[in-house]
Amino acid sequence: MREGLGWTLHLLAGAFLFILLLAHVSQLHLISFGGGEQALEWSAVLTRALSRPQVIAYLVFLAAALYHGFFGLRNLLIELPVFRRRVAAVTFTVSIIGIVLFVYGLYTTLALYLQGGGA
Amino acid sequence: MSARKKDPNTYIFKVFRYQPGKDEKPRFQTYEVPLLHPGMTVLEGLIYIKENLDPTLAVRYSCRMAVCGSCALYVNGKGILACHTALREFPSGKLTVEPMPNYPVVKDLMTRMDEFFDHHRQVKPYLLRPQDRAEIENPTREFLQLPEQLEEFLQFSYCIKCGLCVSACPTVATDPDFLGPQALMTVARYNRDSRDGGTVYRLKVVDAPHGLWNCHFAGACTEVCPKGVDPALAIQYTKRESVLHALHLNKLPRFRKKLAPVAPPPKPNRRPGIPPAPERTVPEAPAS
Ligand code: SF4
Ligand code: FES
Repeated sequence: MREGLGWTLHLLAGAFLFILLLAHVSQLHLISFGGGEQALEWSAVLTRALSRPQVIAYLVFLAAALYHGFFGLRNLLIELPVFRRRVAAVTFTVSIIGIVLFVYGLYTTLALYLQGGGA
Repeated sequence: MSARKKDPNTYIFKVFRYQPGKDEKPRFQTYEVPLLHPGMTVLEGLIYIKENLDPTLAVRYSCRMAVCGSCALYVNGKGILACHTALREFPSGKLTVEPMPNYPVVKDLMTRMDEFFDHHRQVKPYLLRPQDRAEIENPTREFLQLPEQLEEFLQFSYCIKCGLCVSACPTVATDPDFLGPQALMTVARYNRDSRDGGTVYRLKVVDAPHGLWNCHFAGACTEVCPKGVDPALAIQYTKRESVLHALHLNKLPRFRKKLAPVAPPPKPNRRPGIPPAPERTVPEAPAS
């Protein structure tokens, strides 16, 4: 992948994270947005876990957070003298960790969704 | 050394001395240099030392008029062109003269510039027009460019390749593989030139690890440049170009680059009313 594309996605993921985090925080903690204490009750958690738009939003959130975080980490690492000449290896390792974490997040989100009767 | 030189017409030069392979470690040597005329420069001071006090001192220079970029060095921790900096600029009268950081030292104040020019060459610092190869290889006429198109890159063409920006760059200090501000600035110099059609070729070189995106926008390059070039701005321009290419937005009419056309063949009477050239007054040299 060209660096420019990686960085563009990094910036877009950052902007996306900002919006999704705002939505997430306002939903869970701001009463005026329909959240508040009730939002943390198990029934409310389950309702969200079974709502298709919420599941999709959380998976996008997960992907954006992982991409943003791990691409940033990869850029930090390849500037260190020890990894400077090992760009491909660092990119590969960091990508694998990111993908594994995404699959894990995908599994837990979908498991809850499917077990709860969502579909 | 006293806090202030005693004689206002004498300058104290504390000069970095080191010859790798011969000296164990660098040292500083102190010389007293008289002010020979009010506008005397740091370079003239160093030449005075070389000619009168210590011929073993190594210092590089050529044009002595801020054009060739050979005499870049550091005085009191600041990057300067020695030929373009007057001794009067140092009212304390004390100068600590060092070679540019971020470069290997050849001897004393002379640094090795191979890598700097290698990075410069990598970004293809010349007009590329793959669509007009014949004209580029055997030029017949000029490319037409408007003054406002020239403005787009003019300041970047003032670069004299002194290397000071690279010496000041904190990213080069930590990542020697980084292309550096001068090479990256040169990309904008040519990509923004309406006569050039080589944007994709240069982006291929710089849109890579240790390239464009390793610039953290410290701005030290712009701060130190003795010619008023703004490499930090140039790099931002190229980052924008890279994003446009990554998203294929460069094909939109708003961002598409229009190549300057080749000038039409001159008409015999392009500007009527111009009198014919006068007869030669000097005989033509005989063909050898
Ligand atoms: S951009 Fe300025 S500091 Fe850098 S090499 Fe060119 S003239 Fe020197
Ligand atoms: S000697 Fe040429 S720039 Fe100073």
